[in-house]
Amino acid sequence: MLRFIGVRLVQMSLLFLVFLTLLFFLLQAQPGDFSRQFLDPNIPAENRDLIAARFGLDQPLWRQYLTYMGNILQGDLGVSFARYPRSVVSVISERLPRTFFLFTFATMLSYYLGFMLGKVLAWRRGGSQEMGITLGGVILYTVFYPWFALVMIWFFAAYLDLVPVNQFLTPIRWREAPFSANTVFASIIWSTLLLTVGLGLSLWASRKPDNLAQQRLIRWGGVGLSFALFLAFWLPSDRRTFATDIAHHAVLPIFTLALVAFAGVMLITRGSMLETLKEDYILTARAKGLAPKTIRDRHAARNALLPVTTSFVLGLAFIIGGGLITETVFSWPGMGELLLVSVQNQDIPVAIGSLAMVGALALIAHIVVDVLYVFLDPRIRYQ
Amino acid sequence: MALEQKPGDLQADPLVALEGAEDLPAIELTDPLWRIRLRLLWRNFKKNWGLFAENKIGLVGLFIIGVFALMAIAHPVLMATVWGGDNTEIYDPVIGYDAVVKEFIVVEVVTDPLSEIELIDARFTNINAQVGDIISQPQQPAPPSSKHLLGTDPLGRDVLSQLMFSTRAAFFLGMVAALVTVFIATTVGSMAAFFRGFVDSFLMRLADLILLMPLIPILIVIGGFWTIELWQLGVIIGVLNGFGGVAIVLRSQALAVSVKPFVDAARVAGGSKWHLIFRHVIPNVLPLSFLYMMFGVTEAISLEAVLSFFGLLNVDMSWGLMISVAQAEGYLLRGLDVWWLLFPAGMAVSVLAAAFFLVGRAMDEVVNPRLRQR
Amino acid sequence: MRSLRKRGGWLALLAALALVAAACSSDDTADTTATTADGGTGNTTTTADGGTTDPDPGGAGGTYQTALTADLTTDNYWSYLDTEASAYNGFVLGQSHPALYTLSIPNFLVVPVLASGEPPETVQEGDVWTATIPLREGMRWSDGEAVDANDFVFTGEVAQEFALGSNWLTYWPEQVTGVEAIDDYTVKITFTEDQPGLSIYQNGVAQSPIMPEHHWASVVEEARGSDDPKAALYAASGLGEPSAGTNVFNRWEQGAFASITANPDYYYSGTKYTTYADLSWTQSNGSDVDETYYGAGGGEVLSEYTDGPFVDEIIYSEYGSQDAAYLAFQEGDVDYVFNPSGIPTGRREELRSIEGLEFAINPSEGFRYMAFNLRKAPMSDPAFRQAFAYVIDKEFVTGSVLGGAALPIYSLVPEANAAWYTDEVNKWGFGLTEGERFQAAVQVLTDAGYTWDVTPEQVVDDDGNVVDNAFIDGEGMRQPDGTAVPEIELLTPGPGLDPLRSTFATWIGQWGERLGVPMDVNPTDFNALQDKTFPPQTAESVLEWDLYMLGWGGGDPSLPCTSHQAFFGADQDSVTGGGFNTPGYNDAEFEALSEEFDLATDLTTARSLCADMEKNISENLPYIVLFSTPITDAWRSTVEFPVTDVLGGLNGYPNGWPGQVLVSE
Repeated sequence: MLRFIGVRLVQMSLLFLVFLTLLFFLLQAQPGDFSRQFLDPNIPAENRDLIAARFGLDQPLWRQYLTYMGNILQGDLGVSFARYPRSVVSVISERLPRTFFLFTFATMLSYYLGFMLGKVLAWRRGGSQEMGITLGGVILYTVFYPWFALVMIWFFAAYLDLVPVNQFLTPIRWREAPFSANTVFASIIWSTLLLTVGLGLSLWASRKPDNLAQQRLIRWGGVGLSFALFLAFWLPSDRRTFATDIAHHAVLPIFTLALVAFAGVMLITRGSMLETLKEDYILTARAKGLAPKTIRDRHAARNALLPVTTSFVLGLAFIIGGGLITETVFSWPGMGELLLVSVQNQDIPVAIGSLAMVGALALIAHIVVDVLYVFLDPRIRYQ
Repeated sequence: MALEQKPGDLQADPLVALEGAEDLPAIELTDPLWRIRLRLLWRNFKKNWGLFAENKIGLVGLFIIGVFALMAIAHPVLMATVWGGDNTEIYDPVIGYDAVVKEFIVVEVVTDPLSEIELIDARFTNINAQVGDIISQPQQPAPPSSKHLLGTDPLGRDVLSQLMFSTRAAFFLGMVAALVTVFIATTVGSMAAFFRGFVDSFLMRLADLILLMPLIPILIVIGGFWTIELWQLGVIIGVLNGFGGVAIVLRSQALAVSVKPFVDAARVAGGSKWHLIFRHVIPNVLPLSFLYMMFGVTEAISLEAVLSFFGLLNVDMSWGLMISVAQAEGYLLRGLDVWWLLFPAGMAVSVLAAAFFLVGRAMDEVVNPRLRQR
Repeated sequence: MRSLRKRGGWLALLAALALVAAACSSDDTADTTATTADGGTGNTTTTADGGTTDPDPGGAGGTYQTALTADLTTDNYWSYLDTEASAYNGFVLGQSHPALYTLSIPNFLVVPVLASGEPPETVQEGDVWTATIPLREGMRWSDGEAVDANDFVFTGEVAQEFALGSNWLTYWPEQVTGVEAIDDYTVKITFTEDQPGLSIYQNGVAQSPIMPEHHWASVVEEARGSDDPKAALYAASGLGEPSAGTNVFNRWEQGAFASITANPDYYYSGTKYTTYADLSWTQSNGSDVDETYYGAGGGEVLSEYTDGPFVDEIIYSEYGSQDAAYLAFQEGDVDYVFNPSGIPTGRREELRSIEGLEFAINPSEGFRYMAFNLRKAPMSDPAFRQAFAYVIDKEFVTGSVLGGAALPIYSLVPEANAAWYTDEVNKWGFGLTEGERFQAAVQVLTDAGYTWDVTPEQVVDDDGNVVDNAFIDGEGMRQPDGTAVPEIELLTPGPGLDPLRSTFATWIGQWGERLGVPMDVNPTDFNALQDKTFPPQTAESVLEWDLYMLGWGGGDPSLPCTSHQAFFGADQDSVTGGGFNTPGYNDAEFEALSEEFDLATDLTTARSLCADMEKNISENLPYIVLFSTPITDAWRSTVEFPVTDVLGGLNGYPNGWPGQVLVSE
């Protein structure tokens, strides 16, 4: 097992270097460079050469490449051209929490929706219900997303006036805020993470005792304690109102994202469930006379979870890449928007930096999936 | 599929080998071989069609595709007949122009909106307008009328003609992307599975590499140094998918096939490597390839629309471009009052992409016996 | 039944989400009301105290909420004028630093700010030229320090020592060789041995922003010692930097919003600026400032406004797209949207139907053009270019096809820049019908010796009458030397980037074909287009294009012909000079005019030379200027702008009026 992980790690590091090289040359191969942003007849033409020299664009390509790779191996992603002289690392670390927040919640919601509906779909296949849900899901899945997102904004924010229009906070409430938005994002992310861990622990611990009453006590005690701690952190905190402001702004993008994404999960779950339902142990369960709901939820769904989990973990990696469209349309300044703007402006260090970030996380997710398989499916063993 | 890295994208569909001829009745061997093959093929088709037709969503998808195909065919016919001749200047989807010109008197306070116009509105059309002038204003975009069944766009072009013209482009793009994907992925998958060793590792690491790249930003980059046209976009999507995710899926399918007894039998009988690949492995991988063809079409259509929306493609006319033009001129958030600018194109993208997706899902049940009802 | 109950699960989840949304939205209203109440009280008090409707400057109250359609990228004024020179940064940062002189609105004349009186004449001292400028006493930075000669000297020295680029280069070019403080309120600028023209002196160094030395001295000192002094200087945050303008930049939540507050100690607060019909200009605050320039003053008032700041705080919300920003505007979240290209047609129609909005439409300084590659036949032939100039019907395309979204133009300087505009340019077929244009073009080509296999001509109907809009396309066109006219490629931005240009290009292609020129209209990616046509170019690479269509944004309205030199000067050739003269224009008459223009030290001479340059271009046609797009602005009626008729629209010059805008409830 350890040896397997070691070999994978070496393989992936090599792959990552090739990936970076490819990115570098792909981005450099674009016509023109960043100094093209400075075409202004009122500014002497030699200014462009100054800018090019400043960003090292006047160097031969191979030297730029060596410098870049040398720096990256030392963990230095360079300096943003468009936000000169901010470092790429600082730009990314500003954007990452915002994207992470939005897409983690959106992904969890869409997986929840997708898994629940997928179960139903497999259970009642062939009916008009299946037809309806599938059609609806698929249409949402293939909908022309930028337009759909704008329609959602128009309907929920402008027409019904339920949620704010765009952005991730209400500037007028934040102008006196004693801290930056990222501090609040960090608090939200950490507290939610701890809450999740707390809930997970209570559920896990509640399985240990044989006694049903004890199980209940641990389960509900743990859940209650987790929530109590969560509230104890937020209720007296001066960040609470700011956190709710952010949450309020996040409702629409999360909901929209979940709507367009759930069909994918739903169809995977359905397929996986259908296969599981053909297994002998389901037949056994039926023969035992268990209630259909128990068979579906306890026996089939749990075993059908494997491919869904895989896709979830792999999907999480791409969360960091964010959604170009979602972030642009909802004015949510995260990684996706950063990527789009930097690629369009030829801000090459930021573009490579953010793409590399996505790539690195995807690689890590691959390893995690491999390891996860061993735990989730006892039949799998790596030599 | 194409819009974002949606969580479901990376999932390789569960695979099980085809069990082709197991329950076929005996065939009389007196006929020539080709006829037997043909009959086998037909029988297989009938059986698969039966499986396919069991699933109503597949039929719905096919029906939608049929409707769009009719639209694509009808456009050149219309351009040659009712929209042709002197009308070409009006109905050409790219350089057609038609707008009713209305005359207004510029006044301070409008009492009759049909003949009068406020100064500020007049100045939007003619910046030098003064009160008392008569100004003529072309009415574009124009709402649907008997002359333009779906109205005109902000540049005075017929929306119906654009919509139908773009259908052809969408099919073309989808087909190119799908064929390239399937050709490459089938070859790569089969070769990797059959040769194993170095070829396998190389091709699969290549696939991993491609999977690391988010498609839209990469296409933006590529669009930066090539002026991408529609067929090129198709080829690029095809190559990226063909060497990427689809190759991995088809490889595992090919892997399952290549350890089947009939491949071993062929090998023992002295079949050459290429014979084995082309006669035994690829034919058994192909049905799954067709499935991915359908998904490929869906992806290509959606991607084109998104790239056009961001103004990154250089095509004469497409559904994405229709929306992009409406957006550039500020008609995107007008709700329902300029519906003809947004809904026909937006729905066309979504519905046709969905139709191919539905067909793909239905084919999944044909290809993958474990998903079948019986 | 069971599945229904299960779905009840996620329905409950959605319901919970909706509840959160509802809870938050009620919160929201409460907060906004509170703010409104505050602002309202502030304003009422002012009106009661003053007893007049004239607002009391110095931050009389209220919050002005605006939207930016792109991100702010820096809070550092040094870098804002160099690598971060974007309009959006200007909206936020642009109003904090004084200069010796600035430009008056709406006529763009050089008028004093920190300097006292008109720019003095330069004088010759030995080999070199110098200007000695007296400064105004009493101007203070917002932290109380005096704005004096040392600040100006400090700025110049840092700009030149650190080799700051872009705009700093135009303020502090190599022609400025030294700057010193004679005393605290007199500066002396030294130039080279050539007498500095307008662009170097009055429109150059005299308008350089002035940085507070007491704030930056330590940063500069530290930067000097670092490996990369410029980067170190630009990396310093400029938040809270003392301001001597209307506003102080205090808070920036990156990616979300920026906020600037009123500077109560602004020197010109309450000063009234008046422009009279004879173009004379007065500034007066009733006490220590009362000056008139460019004439005697008095007579009919053309425009008049009072300096602020009138609002306590201006919030700039950053939006990811125009659609998002305008939706927020429609919803009342913001009072105004900063968008340099103005409101698009469709959006404008929507906004017109909303109550409580006001509109202005203004000509823009920018223009779109088609360039010929003069290094290649047949583009090198004036007759060939003239034929295109005749046959391109700008009035038709802009008025009909583009539906009034664009304005046909005939010169590079917009008509609205009245002081510099000349109407005496060649307008090639202006007012002719489609048929007459066609005839004129064919005539020019025939006279120059072009021949055809099928001669282009108008269709004659059965009665022998010429049909004005039916044509027989020319075919097999040959140049005077007998070689066939090759296929001419017209590069244009794609319809996704700019539907106006690509549509115009399609029509030009049609008209070219009609004359028998084989045209290939090629929508091209913007970067690729620039790469093909702009420097760096080699003698071979430059031959790869024939025609292209692009646009230039606003130039300097107070000295517009400096850009003509950049576009057409022989020394700016994109191959040999690395400049923006992409057509490779090299005309002796133009060169002579350009040289004289550089040396001109008074406006009258400069203007007449500029007009001659315009005429030269319109005759020789290295560019055909096509159209410009007027800029539409809309704002909530609670906001009042000092001037609404101004070249470039409300967010053009000067950075959207943050210091002069008024907000009422």
